[in-house]
Amino acid sequence: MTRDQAPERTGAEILLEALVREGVDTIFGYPGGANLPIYQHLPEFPNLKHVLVRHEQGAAHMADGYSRASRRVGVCFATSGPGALNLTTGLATAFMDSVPLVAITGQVPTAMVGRDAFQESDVIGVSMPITKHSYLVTDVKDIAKTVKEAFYVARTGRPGPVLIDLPRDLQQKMGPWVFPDTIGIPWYHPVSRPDPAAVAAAARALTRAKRPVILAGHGVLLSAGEEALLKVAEKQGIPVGTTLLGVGAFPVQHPLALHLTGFMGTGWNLNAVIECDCLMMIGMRVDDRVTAKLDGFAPNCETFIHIDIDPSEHGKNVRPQISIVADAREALEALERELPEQPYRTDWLLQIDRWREEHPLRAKIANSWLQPQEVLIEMYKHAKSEAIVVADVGQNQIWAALWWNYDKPGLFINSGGSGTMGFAFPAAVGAKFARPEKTVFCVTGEGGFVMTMQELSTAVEHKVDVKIVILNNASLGMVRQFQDSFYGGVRSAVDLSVMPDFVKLADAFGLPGYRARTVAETRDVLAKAMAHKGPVLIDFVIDPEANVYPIIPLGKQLKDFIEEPLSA
Amino acid sequence: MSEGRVLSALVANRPGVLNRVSGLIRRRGFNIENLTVGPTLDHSISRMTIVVNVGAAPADQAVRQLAKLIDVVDVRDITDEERVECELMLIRIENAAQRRGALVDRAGPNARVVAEVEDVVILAVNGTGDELDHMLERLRGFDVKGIARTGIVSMMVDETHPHAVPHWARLAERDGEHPEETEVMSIL
Ligand SMILES: Cc1ncc(C[n+]2csc(CCOP(=O)(O)OP(=O)(O)O)c2C)c(N)n1
Repeated sequence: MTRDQAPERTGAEILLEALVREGVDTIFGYPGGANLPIYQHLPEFPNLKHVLVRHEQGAAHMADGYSRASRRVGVCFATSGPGALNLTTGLATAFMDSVPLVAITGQVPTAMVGRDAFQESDVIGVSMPITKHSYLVTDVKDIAKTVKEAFYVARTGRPGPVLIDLPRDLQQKMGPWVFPDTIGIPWYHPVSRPDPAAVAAAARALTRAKRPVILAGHGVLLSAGEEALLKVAEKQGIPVGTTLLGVGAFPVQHPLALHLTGFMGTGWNLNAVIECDCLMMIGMRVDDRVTAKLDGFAPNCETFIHIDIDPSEHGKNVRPQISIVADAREALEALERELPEQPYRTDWLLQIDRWREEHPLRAKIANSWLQPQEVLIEMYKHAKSEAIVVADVGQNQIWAALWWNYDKPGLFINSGGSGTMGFAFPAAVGAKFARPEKTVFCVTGEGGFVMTMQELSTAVEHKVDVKIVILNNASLGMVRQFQDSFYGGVRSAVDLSVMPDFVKLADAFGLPGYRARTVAETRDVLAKAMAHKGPVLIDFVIDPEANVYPIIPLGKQLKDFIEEPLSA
Repeated sequence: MSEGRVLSALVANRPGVLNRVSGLIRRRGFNIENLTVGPTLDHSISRMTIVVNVGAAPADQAVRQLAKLIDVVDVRDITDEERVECELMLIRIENAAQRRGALVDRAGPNARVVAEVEDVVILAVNGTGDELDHMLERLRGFDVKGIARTGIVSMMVDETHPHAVPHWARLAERDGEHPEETEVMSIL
């Protein structure tokens, strides 16, 4: 169909139709003056389910959780000015973790842009450093192609959030409905295929190595590379650890699993990284939370191999000898073909087993308090590795990452790069929309939970079956632990003993709320929560002095990790 | 001339592209010494010449970060390539009427008188950054009251290099199509 024959529709309809074409089924959003034409036409699109959030930050996190749980592009709407600005924390969170989102913000009418109109803010300017790309649409004819391009950019290469700022007058203006077949940025060619020579070099280096280790990051999950990773690891018996965002890329219970690496990684993982002679890092940024003090990161490693789709990540922190710029899955598949079978390196694997025995994950259970690990263990009994766990930020995040046997991708979701408190609950709601058949737990501290708890109302409205697990230690636990350990023991501005009664709060929002103080109560309330269909909240009153271990003191090296003190 | 690295970028002529490029360089902790932008033969594409001071860091980080911007078609560090560079400078000289002859002599053939009002002469000079610096040295004895410099533009001599040919020819080689997207959709 040519432009002239195309039926005329309003910009809002063109936008919504383009979203349908992109396969969108769920939108998390909030209306306001600058996007009302979109909302006027929304009911005409029954295939687009709109979820009215209670704060725009919730919309961005829900779209994010939706995307991480499904590997589809998440979509959120907001109005201009304050609406769009409320999205920014969510956009930054998605940007740091390479999550594909498309955010569509209303903007004041074109003629008013730049005149400090009511609810005008420079959303393109504000969002530039926290989006992969952004568009200010200036012509109704550009709306469809901008949507198409935005989705393409969001999900290809290294994924990320993309923002479309759409002035209100264009939403109302008539224009031709034409959905383009091609994308107008022919120079944008994210590399995905690995260079065969580099792959061959990596295969040789791994084969030659006496003590190889693989670390896997979010890129493995984003590219669906987990199966290829398993094959590579099993072919030569190479142990595999993951970053916080890579949790799920390799089954935790696999004999070759090293579990979590980095700042709060397991002792056997950190020892393996310290002693390895060849380290292959896949789909990860190798940031400071992974390396700790740089000169103590893999000090015995002779060959660093880095696989990442983003060329700028190569050598940013650690200079690799072998660098493969490629999609993680494609690189791993190529590597698997290239890698010869060879007998497992028994000495190395036995050494790792010894470290695993010497440095197990430990939790104290000797006092009268409920321990967070006990809560997670009881939860795991109900869910095994079939549930999705969305963790917030702080101690709860690390406990949830460590004390669970994740064996599939998309089952552990957290804000790793940005560390955004308040992420978990809305992200869990988004994850449940994406995968309604899954049990979804939101594991959160009471501090982070109250940052976005207004979404309880959204969850109740849509009967979103998220089991909210508050690990309530009556303080900003992680900060308290840092103050105790690294800031002279001065506990400053971390006390949260004055907080709402969460059971009553749940009641006020219209969902069941429970409290547990012991393991027996934990079992009881979990059974009730699992039986309930719809959102449910449990306030677990845990040991206020419980700490996260292992942990590497700030500014120290991997080898300086501290473990949970043995109970007396 | 400074220690800066000379980056040459072809960028989509879209709104905000200058903001994106300069913002990124600032965010990543590099300093811009000069930045010029102008059209190319293809009006949808502009060329930027950016001189960045990357300090001790290698310039490839700056280049790779810039290459990630969706509106950047191509970017290269051309500092060490065979290349030409050129900058334009306007120089305003007062009390020049009596010494006009000497001034024109001293400025040399690269300089043109572009304005002359009463006692003021404005010269336009082009040359490399270094040549313009030398020009200012040479005019020391005159009453130089102000200058305006454009910042350098630079171009590689080797026309066969992919970066030097107009971008559309290079893109045609890639047959314009987007590669098959790797299907990563469902997580189930
Ligand atoms: C929005 C935001 N503000 C501040 C911080 C800094 N911070 C990191 S962890 C933490 C404490 C979190 O306390 P809580 O939510 O109760 O969880 P806990 O650590 O006790 O499990 C804080 C304040 C952050 N990560 N995000």
